[in-house]
Amino acid sequence: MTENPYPSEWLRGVLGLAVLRVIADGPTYGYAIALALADQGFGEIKGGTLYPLLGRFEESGDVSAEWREGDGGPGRKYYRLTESGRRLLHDRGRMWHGFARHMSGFLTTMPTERIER
Amino acid sequence: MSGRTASVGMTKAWRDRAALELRIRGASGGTIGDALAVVDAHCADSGQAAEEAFGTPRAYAESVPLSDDERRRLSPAMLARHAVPSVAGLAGMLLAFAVVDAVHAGDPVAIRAGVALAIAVMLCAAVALVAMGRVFLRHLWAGALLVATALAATIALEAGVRGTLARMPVWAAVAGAAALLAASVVLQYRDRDLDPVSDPLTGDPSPRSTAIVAALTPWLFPLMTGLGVALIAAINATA
Repeated sequence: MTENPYPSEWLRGVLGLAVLRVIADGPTYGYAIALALADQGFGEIKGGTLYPLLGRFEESGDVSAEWREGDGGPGRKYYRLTESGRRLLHDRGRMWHGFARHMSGFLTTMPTERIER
Repeated sequence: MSGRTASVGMTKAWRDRAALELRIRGASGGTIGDALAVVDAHCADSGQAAEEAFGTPRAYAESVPLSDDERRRLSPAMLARHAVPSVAGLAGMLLAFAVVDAVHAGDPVAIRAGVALAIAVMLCAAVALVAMGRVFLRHLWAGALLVATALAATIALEAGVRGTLARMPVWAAVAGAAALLAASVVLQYRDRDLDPVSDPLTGDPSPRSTAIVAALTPWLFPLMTGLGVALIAAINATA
């Protein structure tokens, strides 16, 4: 499993958006989403975390789902981004960008004058 | 990760517990089938045990989002509706038993205080079962204890408390018992909510659903009344 380089409380806040971003690449199923998230530095996302999140996106209409026959194994539930999910990802993605830039500036600019005094 | 080797996917105990906990929350059969199939699919892909990937069945069941309709299903008002047919059936059955004794003795039907108290106790037990349904479903022994206590109290009151509240002619008692039993059957059919757990791919109901029991349930009190009346008549005939 990929090492998780970031504090988990940061990841928790952005996990929902990251899930929408993975699904934006095309309809996909839960375990593939978990692997894609691991590749992006989220570490191992447990099924007990991922599916309730996907379920809430289904309830809110941001994601639609359909069951497809599995090859040999059990069927798989494929998730697809809806128009509303696409808008949510776009809007929140832009907000995240502004937030990250603002926080980077805030966190890395040290009050040097005050320390010297 | 734990040292013991866990099998891949859901154990029967995990699956049953998750299904029960989802039912307790009011989830429909479709929602439960979907939630369980998701666990099946994920564990088959990841090679994990359900407990490892999804935690305890109760924690998983509590995290599954439900629709507004599902959240309303287990409101106290909806649950109370389900107790009414059983109480009507029980009252009709006990009245029918009183008719048999009255016909044997050639007297009017006596509504005995003990029987009325017994019905009241069963009503209270039914209300308690409904009101604390979640507790009793998780701890079946507590529910069994409550039912056993109520039954014992019913039998003791029925046998021990003498005195007669009212007397009515046999024809009125027969009509009353028939009406109560008929009401219990009709109301049970009205409230029948089979809603089996279904496979999300095929829509097929799970083979574990107990179709025969479900079909017989509305006729429980008329059946028990028939058996009881025959038994009491036979005892009276030989006595």
